[in-house]
Amino acid sequence: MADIGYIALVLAFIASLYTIAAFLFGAGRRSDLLESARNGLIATCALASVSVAALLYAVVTHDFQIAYVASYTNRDLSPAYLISAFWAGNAGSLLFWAWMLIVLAVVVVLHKWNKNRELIPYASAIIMGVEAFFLFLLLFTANPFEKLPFTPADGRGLNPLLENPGMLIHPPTLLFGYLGFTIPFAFAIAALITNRLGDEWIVSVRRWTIIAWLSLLVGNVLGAWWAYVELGWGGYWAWDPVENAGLMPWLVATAFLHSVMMQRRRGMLKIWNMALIILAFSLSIFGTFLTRSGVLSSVHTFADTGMGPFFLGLLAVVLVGSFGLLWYRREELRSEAEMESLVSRESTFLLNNLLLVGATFAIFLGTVFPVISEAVRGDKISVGAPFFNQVNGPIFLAVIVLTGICSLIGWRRASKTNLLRNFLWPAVLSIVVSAGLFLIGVRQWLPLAAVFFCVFVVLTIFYELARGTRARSRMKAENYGKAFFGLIWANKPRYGGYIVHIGVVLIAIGVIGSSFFQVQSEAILKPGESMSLGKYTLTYEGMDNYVTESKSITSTTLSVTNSGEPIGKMVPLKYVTPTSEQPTTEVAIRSTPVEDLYVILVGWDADGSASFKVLVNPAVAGIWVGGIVLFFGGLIAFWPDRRERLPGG
Amino acid sequence: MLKTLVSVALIVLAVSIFVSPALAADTATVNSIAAKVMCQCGCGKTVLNCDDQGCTTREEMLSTIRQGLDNGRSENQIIQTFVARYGEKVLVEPPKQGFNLVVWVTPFAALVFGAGLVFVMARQWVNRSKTLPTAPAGGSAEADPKEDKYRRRLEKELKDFEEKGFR
Repeated sequence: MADIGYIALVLAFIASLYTIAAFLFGAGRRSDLLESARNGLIATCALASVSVAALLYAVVTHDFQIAYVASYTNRDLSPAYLISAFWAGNAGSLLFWAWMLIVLAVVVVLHKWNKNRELIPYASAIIMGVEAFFLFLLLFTANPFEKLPFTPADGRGLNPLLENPGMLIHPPTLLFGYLGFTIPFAFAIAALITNRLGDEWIVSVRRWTIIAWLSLLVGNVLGAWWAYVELGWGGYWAWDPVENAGLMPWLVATAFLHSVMMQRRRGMLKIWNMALIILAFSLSIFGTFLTRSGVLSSVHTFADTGMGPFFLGLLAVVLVGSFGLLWYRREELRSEAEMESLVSRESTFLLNNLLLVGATFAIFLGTVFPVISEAVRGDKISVGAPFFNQVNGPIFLAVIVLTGICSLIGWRRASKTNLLRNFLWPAVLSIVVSAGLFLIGVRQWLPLAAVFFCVFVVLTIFYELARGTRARSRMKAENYGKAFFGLIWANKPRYGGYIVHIGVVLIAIGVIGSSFFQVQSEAILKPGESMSLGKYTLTYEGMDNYVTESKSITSTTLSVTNSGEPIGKMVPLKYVTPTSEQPTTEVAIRSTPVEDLYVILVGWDADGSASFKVLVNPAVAGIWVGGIVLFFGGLIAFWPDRRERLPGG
Repeated sequence: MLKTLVSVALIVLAVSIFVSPALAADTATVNSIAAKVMCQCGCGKTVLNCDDQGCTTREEMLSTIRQGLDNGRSENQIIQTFVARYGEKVLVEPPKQGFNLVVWVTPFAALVFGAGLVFVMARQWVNRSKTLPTAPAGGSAEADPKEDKYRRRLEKELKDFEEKGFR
């Protein structure tokens, strides 16, 4: 089985090289060579699929002679987690990347074969080039089919922390999001090569960018949720290098999705849009470089297998080649841009791009600064969460302010009377809400200002939706409900975007609440003793030790009251599995829309006393709800119209 | 109006970056100090947040903090003890001095520079729309640049409408 998998990879690599050559030589000329290239593409996909099937078969049949299977699975693992072992390790996740990329390539290329005849050969060649790179890495630096000199009786199993439903979705969505940027990048470069720099490449690219963007969003939010419920520190985002690596391309893609509207409406920012796509793809390569090269340490990184320099090489080729090509074509891209007024929606989009790319730069600098500092001064330093919070907090607040302003300013120019009328009621109501918060005891100015703007944004969006619904219901004689859905469906990109903004604000509220107003307390309790935090009182009732088929569990029960009213019991625990050396923590969380009560069992003594850490995290639920809203907004924005299926796109 | 808005925003940004640590300077507690030093077990988190099951340094560092507070030492003195023992890497964020200023200042400087660039280009675009020469068009003597600007815009919007429909 291992041999079949390995040979399939070798053949796939050869097929990918042939495909690149066939596309490049056939471009613009011999359609039979192009047909052959298309077959090469499909063959590479088939071969990669054989390889994947071989690995999955080995995992499912417990073929422990394969080193990868022995390292990440064991006989006890349930089927779902057996499959997830596919992406648990370095070699497997690389194979997943190579396979998903070629599958995506087949879907895109076949879909566009007749629509973008000039771009397709070059775009396909570039995608296959990236594919060949990953196949090369698999064959020469991280072979998933490497065999052990003996066959162990059982494998090492999955790290217990990974046995969580998040493991089934978080890695694949992140990986898919990263590799998804290869498609828009390939089409952008193809447009530069063929000098077809009108709207064609943008139309092709926007939808695939949203797919990658959505996937990264799900991966990031799910990762945050997983960290929050599974790890024992009560937080959801540590500004860890690999977390940052997943955020940076997403921010750049968000900027792109806005500035692309400027290009379609006003013919502006063509060079900038090209640069953004190149940057998004480069950041996704950089992200995977960080994860697999051991340059920075993180809970997410794989052990160094020497593939770091290859990623840097790819990055150098991509950056030099793409920006060189962009420079060469800069005159064709220079636009007849004009703006009527400095105060217009166009300006808010420009500022939006500035802020998002600025935040990306700040995150990038903070992430690599330890390496830079050590190279320059020889001293190791840490750049932790407080740096990122202090620098990004104001930037993201400014983005939210902008979100509120932009939907009220029309395209081209804003008239002063319009502005005032549109701003007035949302501003007044937002002040009321902030004043309310001040009255109940919130005194720090930053969260007060932030909440003001969050409420402002939501109100301006509701106002837009209300106005549009009323206009449509009058125009089409529909009732308000029908008009509302009809409104959204008739203009999905615009209203999907508004829903995305609501999601962003919900996340912001969650972040503000849990960052500024989190409280925590630690205590050692004997059975019967209590501790208090805020309005909650927790009484330690007792400890239980029991064994299940795969775990040995120590659980503690606490009964909780809120302002004297009993609200139930919480059971934080720790467990040990036969294969893990350290105990794994399972926290107890009680979530309400207002706040989360979060209890961790830190340790215990032979005399029956236990040590607990308790946190109250306000508004955290906003993050998860906001993430879901963001996702559906993005889905609506992406959804194709029936009319659009005919021409490009 | 946009200029004032942008300038105000940037000033607020700058102030908040450099003032926020000062705002947080209330009484030092074990937790507030533990949030400022990195746990040395390799988990990449602060002593406050370290949840690594195999960690031995967390307790050690926590007791150093408690001892220091009991002996009446200030937050800064306790943190300097850690720096003397482990080096600058024990600090959760680089101190705002020397070479480390690069990481604090550069993002802000880049934003200011970017904002300036955006402003200059936007103004150029606005001026361009006011001073573009009249289109030679098909013979008619449209000497009026305003009329011409509207005709250009109308043509563009009609073309847009054909391609994209209602927006």
